[in-house]
Amino acid sequence: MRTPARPAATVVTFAAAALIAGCGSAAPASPGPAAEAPPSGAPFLATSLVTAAGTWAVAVMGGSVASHNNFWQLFERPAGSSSWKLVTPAGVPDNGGLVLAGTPQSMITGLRPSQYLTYTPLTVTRDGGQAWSSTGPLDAALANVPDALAAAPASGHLLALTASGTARLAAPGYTSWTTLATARTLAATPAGRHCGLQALTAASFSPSGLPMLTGTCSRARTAGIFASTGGTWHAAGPAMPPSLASQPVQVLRLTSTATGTVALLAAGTGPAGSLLTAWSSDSGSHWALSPPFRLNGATPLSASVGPGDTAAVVLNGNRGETITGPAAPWRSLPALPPGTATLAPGPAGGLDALAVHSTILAARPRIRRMGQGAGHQRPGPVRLIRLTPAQRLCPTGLTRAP
Amino acid sequence: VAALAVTGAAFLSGRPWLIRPVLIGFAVLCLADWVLVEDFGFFGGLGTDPNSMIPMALLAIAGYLALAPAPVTAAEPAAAGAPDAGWRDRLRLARDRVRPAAVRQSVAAASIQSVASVGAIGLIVLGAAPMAAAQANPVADTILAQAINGSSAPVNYPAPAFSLTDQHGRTVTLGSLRGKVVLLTFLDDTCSVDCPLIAQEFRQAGQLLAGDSRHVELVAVNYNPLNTQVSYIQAFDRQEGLNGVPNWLYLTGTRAQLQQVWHAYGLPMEILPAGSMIGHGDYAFVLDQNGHMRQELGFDTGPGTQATKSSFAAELTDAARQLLGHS
Repeated sequence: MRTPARPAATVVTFAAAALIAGCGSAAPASPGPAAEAPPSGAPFLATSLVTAAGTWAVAVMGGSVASHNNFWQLFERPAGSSSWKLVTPAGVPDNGGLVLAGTPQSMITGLRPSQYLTYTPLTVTRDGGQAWSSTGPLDAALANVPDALAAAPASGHLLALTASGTARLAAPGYTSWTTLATARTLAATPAGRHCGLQALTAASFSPSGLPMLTGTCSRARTAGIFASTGGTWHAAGPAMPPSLASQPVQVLRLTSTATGTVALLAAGTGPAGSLLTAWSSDSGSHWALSPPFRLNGATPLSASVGPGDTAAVVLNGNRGETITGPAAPWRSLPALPPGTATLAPGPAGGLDALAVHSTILAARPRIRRMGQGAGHQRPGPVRLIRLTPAQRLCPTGLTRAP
Repeated sequence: VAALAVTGAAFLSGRPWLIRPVLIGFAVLCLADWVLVEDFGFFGGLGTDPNSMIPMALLAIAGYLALAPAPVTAAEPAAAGAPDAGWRDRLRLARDRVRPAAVRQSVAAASIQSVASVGAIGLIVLGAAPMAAAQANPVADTILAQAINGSSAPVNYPAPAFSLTDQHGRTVTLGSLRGKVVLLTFLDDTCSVDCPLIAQEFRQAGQLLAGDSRHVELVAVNYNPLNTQVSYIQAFDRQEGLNGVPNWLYLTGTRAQLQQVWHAYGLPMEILPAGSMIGHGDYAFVLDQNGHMRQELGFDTGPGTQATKSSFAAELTDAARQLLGHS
């Protein structure tokens, strides 16, 4: 015999569930943590830069899968010195990454926001990183690319590429930013339509002070490099060689040096992908292209430019490649130390490999909890090994004790 | 999610032999999660919603009760002379039912449905009664907040004076705030963890105060010695959605001015090297209309969870209302 259900008990229990569910404590109306950078983009922020003051290098440390446990360090090797020193700006959280913009007189660092911070503090040093002073800020998150910030060599204007794909410009002081272009407005220009612009990837100034932007083009064989003259954007990328005619081109880096503009290009994808370096001394009107370097499936992890026309790339598998100019071939470096974050020009024409020695920070989370006093993590040791293209030299030590 | 999926699948199967063990397992999981993870934060729990597992278990039990048939009670033969039984007979019958032997027999004969029903009722009493009592208490929010955060220290002395610049570039002194209750905190404008949450607590307190907010100033003093520019506190305000709050003041000054204020309020600060944020504590103060310090709230007493911090808005609101003369 089928027996009746229990409507009364069921209703009472459901009502109790609903009542108690409404009693849970509510989270505050917080904006929530800032969007974290995609994991694949973060290591590529590691790079080096050469200015009159010396050579600067950025490396990520920590190694946790949680990006807020990673933190970034800035090192400097003063001109004429063989020693690196830690010059990371103090007092500002840098879990989101560091982006550099050098001028002949100063170095400006953008500290990409992380966690609940959504805007970008800026700091500047005029003494090789011994003292930093606050400037800015940029009221937006910098893009997660190493060329998200560029300084005009003469005027000191800053060009910033934001995470939302907007290029913004500010005069020294950097408190008032104007929008120079967005991915959408640039895509709507004739140059942008020709390229089929999809996204912005780098910002720079030409040696003459013209703002330059790069992007990813949907049209094959087109390098998405644009320069602004009189407020009008025009195509300023190199023509790709016929051997790469059907390949899509991505601009990985766009950097100004004392002599011109250097672009690192990736043509094609997967095993057929190649790296090329392009040099221009006239704001992109004319380019000299390197021979393609066949990646054979390798992934570029870091790229550095300078001094002069030299470019150096860290590939996965502890591999490194360098090229010294348009007429030179790509040269493979000896096996890089494990954990090499980036390559930087060393004294006497060599290269320094900056290797994060361990993931010591993973056991020491930097995020403090309320009531535990100041938030502080100790950096793990960094080992610097000087390399030359031909031979590997003995390790030279710079170690920060934990 | 896996437990929910398994429980749901068991219910959909409609097979009692499957539903019962799954239900029991799910209830145990819910209770363990409620007690260990949500309340005590074991295994990394954040305690963001301490009661969610109770309704979850009750819903599962309710679902079971909805599906399971109720036992049919066989009609008892009418006791001889029952209509004529007097009160003595009824009393004897009731006494017989509560005798230990009878109770043991009843428990042994109880179905799983009965046990589940008793369990559900127990959970209702356990979970709902305290919350209902808290709902009925007009100062429950504050009591709960203090239970989590610790009691604030009631004091009464003149608050240290200050003269700083607000986010609009105007000079603000403590004296200029006379006549209003001041909810005061110290926020690092490039802090990426605590300060944005505290700012949201202040914003929420402003909303809770509703009409009373015109008598209350929500004031933050910059707690960063490096980024002291007005442009930074403006950026922080935009980030937190505070730039449109009429009674919000975020004050800054020169590094020397700020350090003087921190010192006067007894607040430590440390510039930490190499990519760390400024080392500082988290504090809030309640000042009355005469500029007297009336409460000192330490945000540092809790375990550092969202739930801990979310209770401060209620505490701040209640403190302000008490000073305004209506709690």
